[in-house]
Amino acid sequence: MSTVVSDHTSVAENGAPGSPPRAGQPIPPPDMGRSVRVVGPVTPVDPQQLPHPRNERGELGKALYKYWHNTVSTDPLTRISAPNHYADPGNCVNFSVQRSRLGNVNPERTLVADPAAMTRHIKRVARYLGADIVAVAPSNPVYLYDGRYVQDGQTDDAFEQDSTTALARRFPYLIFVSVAWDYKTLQAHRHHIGDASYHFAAMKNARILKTIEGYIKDLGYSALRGTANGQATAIAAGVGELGRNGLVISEKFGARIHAQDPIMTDLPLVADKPVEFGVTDFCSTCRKCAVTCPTNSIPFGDKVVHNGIEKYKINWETCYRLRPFVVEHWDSCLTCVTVCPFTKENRWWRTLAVTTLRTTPIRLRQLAVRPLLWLDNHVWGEIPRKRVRWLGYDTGIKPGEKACTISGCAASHDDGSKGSFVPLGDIGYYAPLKENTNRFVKRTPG
Amino acid sequence: MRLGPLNVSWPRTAARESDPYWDDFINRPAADPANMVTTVIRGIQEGSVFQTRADIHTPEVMSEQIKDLGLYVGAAAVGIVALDGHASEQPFAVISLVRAEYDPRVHPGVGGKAAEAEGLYVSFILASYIRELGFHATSRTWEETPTSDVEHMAVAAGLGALDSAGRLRTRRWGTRIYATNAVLTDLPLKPDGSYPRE
Repeated sequence: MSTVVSDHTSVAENGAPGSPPRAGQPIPPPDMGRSVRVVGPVTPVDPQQLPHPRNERGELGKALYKYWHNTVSTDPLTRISAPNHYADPGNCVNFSVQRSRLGNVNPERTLVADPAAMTRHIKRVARYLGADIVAVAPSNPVYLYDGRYVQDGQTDDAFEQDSTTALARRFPYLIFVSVAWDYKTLQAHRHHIGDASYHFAAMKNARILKTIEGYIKDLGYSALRGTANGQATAIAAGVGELGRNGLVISEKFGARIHAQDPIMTDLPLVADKPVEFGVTDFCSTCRKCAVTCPTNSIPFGDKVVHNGIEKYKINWETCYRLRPFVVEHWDSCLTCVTVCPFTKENRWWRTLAVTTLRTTPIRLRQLAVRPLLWLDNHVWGEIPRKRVRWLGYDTGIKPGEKACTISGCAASHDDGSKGSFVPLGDIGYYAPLKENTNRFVKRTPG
Repeated sequence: MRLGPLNVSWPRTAARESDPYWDDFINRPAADPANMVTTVIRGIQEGSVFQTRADIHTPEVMSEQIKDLGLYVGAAAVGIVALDGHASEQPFAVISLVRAEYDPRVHPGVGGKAAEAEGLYVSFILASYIRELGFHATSRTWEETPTSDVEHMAVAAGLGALDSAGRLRTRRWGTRIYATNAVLTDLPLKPDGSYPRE
């Protein structure tokens, strides 16, 4: 393979779609589709003001600080998969992978004569490594942090003093990669089983992103981490649209994807475009996530403008503050992900429903939305209450109680819980936790 | 591609021929080994055994749970052997096989080593989980247990057989399978077979 330094100029002169802005020209305004619109000046977010960093510094109160720094999970699976709840970080592979700095950029650059071919190659690489979603967004200051932030990890590079505009020019592409969470275990929202669905997908995603980061460096190009907001990148790259629950609703997997920190690069690529398949129209009517959120953090009303961006805005703080109260029983709520009608198994009927929504003209969308929502409520229920058994865990057992419901297990289980079967009435929605969360006043939809 | 219960292999030849970078991705070694995730995972210092032993189930149930967890995190098949003739603190070996489009032993590129990275990842998670249950387990076995030995363990566990060329062949995946390393443990398990260990 030739090792000639690639020439961006030829791409810019061609004016090919998705090519970076020419030197001296302003960066085009961001295109994020229908679900998110930039309507005013956007101030780059200081990542040190994000919830996790603020909590690390103790700015969110004692309960959350202890949750972050001093909580060792009682569940062995959570201890190997969830950040900050391990007993020994050496048993949490993600702890080391996310913090690894990898090697240097290869001084011998691989020639990229056709950015479209390289884009297809990178996407093929990501899928080969196990990714379910891979897309490319054009860099834009609106998507970038004013600093660096990798959740549960760390990063450093030589460009940390660059402005977001300078960074977007120097590294014109953002590669978004995601792994879908396992659907069956996700049905156990507010349970260790649901936590496993969430955390193990995050671990796999982190490993894939690290592999691609190392590969891009080996191709002779930079691969920066911690520069961009994952959700903004995903929306700009056409992965999905922003839902009422504040999450990226992907076309294939609904809300059950992570928006982990993308790879920012100068590898010549061709950017994808935002996608539109009816999330805004569905969310304007549905409100399932808002009704079922245990902390009432999801808005029932319309989109608002925040920091120059028009979108549905959740109350992150009330969502976040639930964690210390439930960490003994589970780690991640996930209710808004699980109840979302877009979050289904990837079957033909789901594809048919989404295709119907996407192909219906926007002014007629409610004619499709309302029957689909009715179907969702009557087939899956207004809140999933499916009993899930996995790896010895059972959502039919109330948190705080112990029982072994594994058929054929003859172990003595010293605490005497063997054989104590529990009633099925409280599956998936635990009475003790309803008492804990009643302090967050629920409003009925207006 | 899935058609209901069928898993149909989609022709890959056309895609490979139109990708001029694929061959290097599979076969060209990384200029800086530190850019390989395999280097990162091999360099992780394993954690300690959790001080409180979990209330575990019978060996039969624990064996199924370990296998289920291995499959959940990416293994194609998981088997367990008892290590005979070895008065060791770790009498069982858990062998995870991962799908391998390319054999990492002969394809040194980032893509060629992908199966090795995945295998290391799977075995690390299984060993970590067992340690968090309060039992000893290690996945850092690649020095004393080379891949060829792990393949023999896989045969002993009933995961496949060795073909005339000495490669591990499974019923479902053929030779497109890779056994990175074994997890040695003292968690009471029900083995699928036994393997003589010196």
